[in-house]
Amino acid sequence: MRREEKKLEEKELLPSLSILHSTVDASFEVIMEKHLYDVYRLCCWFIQDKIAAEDVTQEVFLRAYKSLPGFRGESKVETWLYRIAINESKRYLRSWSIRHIFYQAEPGVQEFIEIEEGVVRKEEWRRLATVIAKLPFRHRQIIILHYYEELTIEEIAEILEISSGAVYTRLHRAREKLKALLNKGGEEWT
Amino acid sequence: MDLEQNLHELAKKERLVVGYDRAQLNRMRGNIQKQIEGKKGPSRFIALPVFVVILVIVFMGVSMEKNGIEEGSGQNILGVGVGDTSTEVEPHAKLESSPVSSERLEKIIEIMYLYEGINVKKIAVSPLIDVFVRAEEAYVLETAKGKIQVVIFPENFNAEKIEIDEDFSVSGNITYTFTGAELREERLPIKASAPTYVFGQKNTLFLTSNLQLHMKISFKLQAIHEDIMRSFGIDPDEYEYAERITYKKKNGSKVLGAKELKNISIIAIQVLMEEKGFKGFGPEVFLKKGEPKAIIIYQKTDGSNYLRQYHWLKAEEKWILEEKKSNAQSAIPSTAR
Repeated sequence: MRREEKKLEEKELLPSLSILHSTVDASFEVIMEKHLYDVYRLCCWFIQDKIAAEDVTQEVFLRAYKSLPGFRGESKVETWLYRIAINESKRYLRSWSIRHIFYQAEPGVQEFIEIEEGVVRKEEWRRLATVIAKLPFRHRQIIILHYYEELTIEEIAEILEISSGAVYTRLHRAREKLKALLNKGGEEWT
Repeated sequence: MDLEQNLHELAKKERLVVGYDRAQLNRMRGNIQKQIEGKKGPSRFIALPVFVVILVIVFMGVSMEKNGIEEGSGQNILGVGVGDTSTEVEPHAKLESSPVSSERLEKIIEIMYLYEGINVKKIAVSPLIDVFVRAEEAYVLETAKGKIQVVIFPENFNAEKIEIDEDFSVSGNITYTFTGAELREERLPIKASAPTYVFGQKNTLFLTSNLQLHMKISFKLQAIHEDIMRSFGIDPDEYEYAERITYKKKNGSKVLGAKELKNISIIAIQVLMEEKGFKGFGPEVFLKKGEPKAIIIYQKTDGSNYLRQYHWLKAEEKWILEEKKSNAQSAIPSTAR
């Protein structure tokens, strides 16, 4: 009797599992549609190589898909995705083989353009972009999230899972580091 | 310089750099779906497959290139390096003696260098010469930033209509072919290690994995300069881009004196300072060939063109302004064109 009950329970569970799968797939489709470009752009900024950024973005979404059933909605989807993207980008950049064997694009300036703005500040921005690309990852990530992504201190704190105070401190240190590197070149940045 | 302000402005630019490319996103979405369905292998940056590919290239590259594209072999022509026909080119001026160069190619290389600082290090004949029926010349240009394939067609040929048709359906085996031109089918498909972008400019086709924006900017800026000059009835062929003079000087050619160049460059900066909040292209300096004359041209984002004409007064060693022109009233905003 108990075995029959169990079989019945399993049968009842089957439709719910399939509903769960289709729900996950549908949710994932929506998430991908809404956030694929944002995540790709973020990866491009971190990795400075569009081809590698495509791969990392795909990896981010594969990880997101695997973790989606366990996603409890305690943070916003984009916060969660950005967190995965940062970790994946960091993992990619830390990869021994990538850093030591394989070609890496020149940091920061490959496709830097300003057609509409004229060329007068081109060198200034190019220099700044190059120096940002040379910053340690913890400083670069804070610059990218705050300035490029225009995220608030609270949003960054949530993504990086640190306090708002720590974000302020890191941002200050990143700016100081930037200034120091820029001023090394004989320019006066304030 | 204000770091905070520059960071905000740089961020604005960076947001534009990674453009929203629907086709690319669809491709990525497709790849993700395939991997979810378990039909696709691991991503490209995993060390072992890449290492294997590199080994294969190292051992097979030379012999493959000697033979050009094998029939239907799907050979990777952007990823594989240049073969026996290649020529080391450093600096550009030496291109003139290159056995695999031509006047048309030299012009392209110069535009790339002058406008976007892309320095060609090596040239080889491209196997694409056998792919396009009407191709007259085809080269692989190797630069520090990546490779570019250049295919030059007859003058009346429109290379801008050529499109690439890529196939990403087989994992680890990207292949492509073209539409918009007559092809030798037996040479297709062509294999690639990364997405390939094509860019047509009049009768020339460019293929690259990462330099398409540089190419577009180079030709766009050149076209804008010529348009500005023509709008004032000036023949662009009579003038030489000042950057080109600097470039020739670097390569040892004796040209206009350093003082003249420096002074006119300072004037160009002063022009810019006069135009508070300037947005647009330029100002750029062009020097008249064979005469001590120079023009400074620029275009504002409203489409209005500006020209200042100078002549060099040797006795006083300074540039004298002859004329200031503008078509500001009749301008069409650049966004409307």
